[in-house]
Amino acid sequence: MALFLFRRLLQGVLMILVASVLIFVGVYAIGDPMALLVPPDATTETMEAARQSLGLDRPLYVQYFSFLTNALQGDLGISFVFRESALTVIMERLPATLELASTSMFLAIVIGIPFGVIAGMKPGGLADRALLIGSVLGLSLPTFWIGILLILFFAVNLGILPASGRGDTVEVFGVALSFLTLDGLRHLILPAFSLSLLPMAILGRLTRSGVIEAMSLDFARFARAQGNTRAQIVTRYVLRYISMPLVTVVGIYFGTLIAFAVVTESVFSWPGMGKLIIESINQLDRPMVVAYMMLSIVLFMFINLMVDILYSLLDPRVRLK
Amino acid sequence: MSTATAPTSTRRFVSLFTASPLALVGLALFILTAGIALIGPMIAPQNPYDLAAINLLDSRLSPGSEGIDGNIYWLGTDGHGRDMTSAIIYGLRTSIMIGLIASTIALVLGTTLGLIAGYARGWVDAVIMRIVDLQLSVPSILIAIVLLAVLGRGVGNIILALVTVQWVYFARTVRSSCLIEREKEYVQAGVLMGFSHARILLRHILPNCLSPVTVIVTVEFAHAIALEATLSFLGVGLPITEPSLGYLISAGFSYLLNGEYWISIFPGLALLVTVLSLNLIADHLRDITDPRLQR
Repeated sequence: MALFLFRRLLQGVLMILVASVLIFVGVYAIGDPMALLVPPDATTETMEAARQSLGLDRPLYVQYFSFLTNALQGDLGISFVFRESALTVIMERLPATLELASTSMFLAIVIGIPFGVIAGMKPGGLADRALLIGSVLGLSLPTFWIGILLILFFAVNLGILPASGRGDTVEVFGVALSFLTLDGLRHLILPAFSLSLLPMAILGRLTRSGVIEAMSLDFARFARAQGNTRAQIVTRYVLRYISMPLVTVVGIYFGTLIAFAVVTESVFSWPGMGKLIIESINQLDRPMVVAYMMLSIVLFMFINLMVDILYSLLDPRVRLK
Repeated sequence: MSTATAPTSTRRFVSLFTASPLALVGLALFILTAGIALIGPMIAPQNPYDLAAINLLDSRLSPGSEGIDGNIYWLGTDGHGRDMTSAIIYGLRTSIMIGLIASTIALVLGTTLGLIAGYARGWVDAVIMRIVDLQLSVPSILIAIVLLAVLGRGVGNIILALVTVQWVYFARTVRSSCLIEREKEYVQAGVLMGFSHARILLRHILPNCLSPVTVIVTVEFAHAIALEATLSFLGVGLPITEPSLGYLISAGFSYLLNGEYWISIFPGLALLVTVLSLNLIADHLRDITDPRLQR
């Protein structure tokens, strides 16, 4: 177990290092932020002075190594636009994104999995056909467009839910949370729902096919012969049997949700780090883009590691490999 | 396993495919959208890029309104007085074209690298698959956003970004098929007959690896169209001079809160129908080509 985890951790660190080189070279090799940061009538001397104060005059590899040593100390550079630590700015917005992604995943789990179970227990039935069509719609609907539809219907036409922002928040251990106030919940529900459709469709399909497969296996037939009802078999045995792929998908799609939050946050003006990155790209705020990517990659590696650990806890056979 | 070119297997494929009503609906919808995109300039009431054809006095008219010249705008007009029907037809053209080009390049590149990795094995395989693993651990939309942030907006750049995120899916699948196929007797027979590696790979192994690829190319075509629309919506994709469906939706979004829904909603519907039709086809292709379901 320890060796397994150590190897995974090492792989993760290696991936982060490779990604850091790619991101740094990619983002820093192209484009000149000076054009944006100094007034157009600035003299060459002020340009040079600004360039030196930002460290942009040094060779690229020197910039990379100072970037790497600083990054290891938690310093990912100073945002050109905000004039403060890029990591601090992102960290201030991270809770909003995590709250949005977690709520979406929660919705996907509590709607998608039960729907998949009901569909899988009676293949070809009404619920099954509804799931088939619903899930292909969930996979095809562009996230931003479903967000626009929801705004049009609930905010513009009915006027019962707000179209943008985060609403009232409550501070819990210094972190602002929306879902604890009624106003915050009202702001959260539309973006969270629009973001949840993709994982909901995937989880529904996966649960359905898992239940169909498991119901024909020996253990399910044996449980049936023992006199268990179909509902009992599913809740006691089948769900446990299909939990592995479900855990994997929840883990992987949590990362995808954080990435897709870029889209949802832009539509609903949700003040998370996804909206921030789009603004930073448009303002050529390179330290911000680099910090966002680094933080995301560390986050994805962490999620992957968590999935691996959960996996090995659920299935002892994995640990032996 | 018979080759895909044998007439009996083609007939079987057709009969299997037509067995699903949903897949036929998907095919019909796709032929419709692709057809509209293909002959677009001939049927569009207006050339939305021709500034002389656009009348600013007709801006933001609701669907079915009569324009100042007596013409009817069935789907309304946008903020510049552009006919939405025409804008959607041209946008569909751009979106489908970019999706098609990107997924075709990704197909060729990914299949080639997958074949090489699976056939050569060793360090070549290791290098290619590590790149695939690295990419698969990061959501594709993030890779695309960062690439476009670096490269800037543009048709070529967005195609490059789409190919970069999509080739891995082809490479991974083709490699695993190739690893299985290369151990089979017909490959050994080819080696004994003195065929070159290229001939064995292209004439013998490749055709037997293509069955799962048909599913992936359909899914990735849909994915490319959706991803391009998303990126253009975010303002990092296509430049404003190449209005795609994503750009039209984003342009209409600012009018949405006034209740002027049509500028955003109709291009979105066109996008949905296109992506949905491909996903319906892909769903059924997956069922047909899955060997577990064939027995």
